[in-house]
Amino acid sequence: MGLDASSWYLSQLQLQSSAPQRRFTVGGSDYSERVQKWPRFKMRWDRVQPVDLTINLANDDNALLFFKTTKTKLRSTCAIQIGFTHPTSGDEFVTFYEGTVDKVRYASGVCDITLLDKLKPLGERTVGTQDSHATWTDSSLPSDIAWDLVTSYGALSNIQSTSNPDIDYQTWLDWAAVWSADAVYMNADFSGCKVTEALSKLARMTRSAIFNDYNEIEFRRFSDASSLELTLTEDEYMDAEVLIEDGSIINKQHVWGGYNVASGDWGVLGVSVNTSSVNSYGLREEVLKDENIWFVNSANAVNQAQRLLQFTTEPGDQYRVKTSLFGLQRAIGETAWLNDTFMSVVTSGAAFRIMALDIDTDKCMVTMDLDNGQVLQPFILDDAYLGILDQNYNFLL
Amino acid sequence: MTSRFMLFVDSSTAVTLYPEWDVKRRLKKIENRHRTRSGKEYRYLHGNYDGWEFGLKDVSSSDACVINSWWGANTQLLFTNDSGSSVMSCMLANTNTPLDAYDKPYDDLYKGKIDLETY
Repeated sequence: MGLDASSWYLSQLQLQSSAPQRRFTVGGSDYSERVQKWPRFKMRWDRVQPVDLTINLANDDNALLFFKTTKTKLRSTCAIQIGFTHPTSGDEFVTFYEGTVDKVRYASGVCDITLLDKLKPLGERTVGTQDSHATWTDSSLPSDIAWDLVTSYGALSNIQSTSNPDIDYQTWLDWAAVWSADAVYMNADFSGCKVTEALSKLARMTRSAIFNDYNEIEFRRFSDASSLELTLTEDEYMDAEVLIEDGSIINKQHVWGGYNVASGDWGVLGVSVNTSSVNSYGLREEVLKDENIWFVNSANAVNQAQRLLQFTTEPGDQYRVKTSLFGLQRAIGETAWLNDTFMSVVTSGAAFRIMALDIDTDKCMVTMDLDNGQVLQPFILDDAYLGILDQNYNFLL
Repeated sequence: MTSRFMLFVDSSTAVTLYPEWDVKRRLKKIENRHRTRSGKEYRYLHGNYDGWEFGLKDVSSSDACVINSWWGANTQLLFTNDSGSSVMSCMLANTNTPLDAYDKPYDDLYKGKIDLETY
């Protein structure tokens, strides 16, 4: 979950002057010295697609011709790492990206390698066929359907412990606990779409975050602020822009369920309305209806409709903040406390959820997308207005 | 100028250079710098490389030929300045032929510019 690094490494990311080392390996061999331009790549909470990047390497001596002469080398695992040298214990490197080769281009003494990450095989495999559908008919937890999709159909590791190399098992367990606690069940019927498409549908129906975070697939349902936090003041970021989207408002949610594949009928409709938002912004409706994956009963559909409205009845403040490597300390889904005096945002105010990370390893810069509408804000006792809790307050006056 | 530099591949191929007054030492950093909104700066140092740049006059035709051939072949060289206490591994980084003009009024002496960078 998040960055797997020592506290010393995290402290190095906070330094104003440091000497980070960048490493690029192909099949375990170090080609860092050939890198002409280090790559930039983006990760988003709602992206169930492989993250791609292109790295340019010097090839005047044809040392990288092996991709052409031995095509199976395209399956070599390539990694982008950033590390620091500890004064006594040596180098500590963290892998920020790992993938296999999607394309190689040779031109003018340069070799451009395009990589796709761990989700690549999920975009190459299908779920079911037209003649033999892949079905879940016994009211499964959404997390169980997701597990089957990524392991049985996506061929990722099915080890059910935190030692799973492909899946952040702890996030899957926490995500599964949400569905189990609410007794939310789904059925599904897939007839040949790609695994990534099936996961996207599941993520959309459950409003979950399914993404590849530092080489492990994570599953999350955004609710309360994460305890893993980062404070961003004007000392830490170079630029900040705010976007407020009226189009993001949804105050009446329809969720269809109980789909009958044979007859094409829908047996269940769950609806939730936020009247206050309707009065403020007008009626804004959304429909969740998918013939491939659906909720099995009305309670589940209503539950989903209510949960969705927890985050969509008012437009959140969407920040895009540019930081140095300071921003690498936290990962998608975690919390940022933001200070922007011009916009009257204080760090003790609303928590922001990190929704996306755009990592530029060439410029050593991180652009973070933050949204305070994706966090269930806690009740905070404002000590400036204690009212009857203020021992100096005289309620007789 | 009475400084004396040596450029060589090995002890048998040394060329003695007498630089003009325009000697420049260029130590360059490869780094990223970011200035935050409050004015603080973050700097990331990735590496550095050294370099020397100086003009030459009165270079014999044999020395000019050797230097120009090193430039043409991208030969890896060794460079030392006056003190000889440090030896720098470098290559000629000139865009064009280093010693490419007669040193008037002589037609057997050459002049030009030497641009050395470490690798």
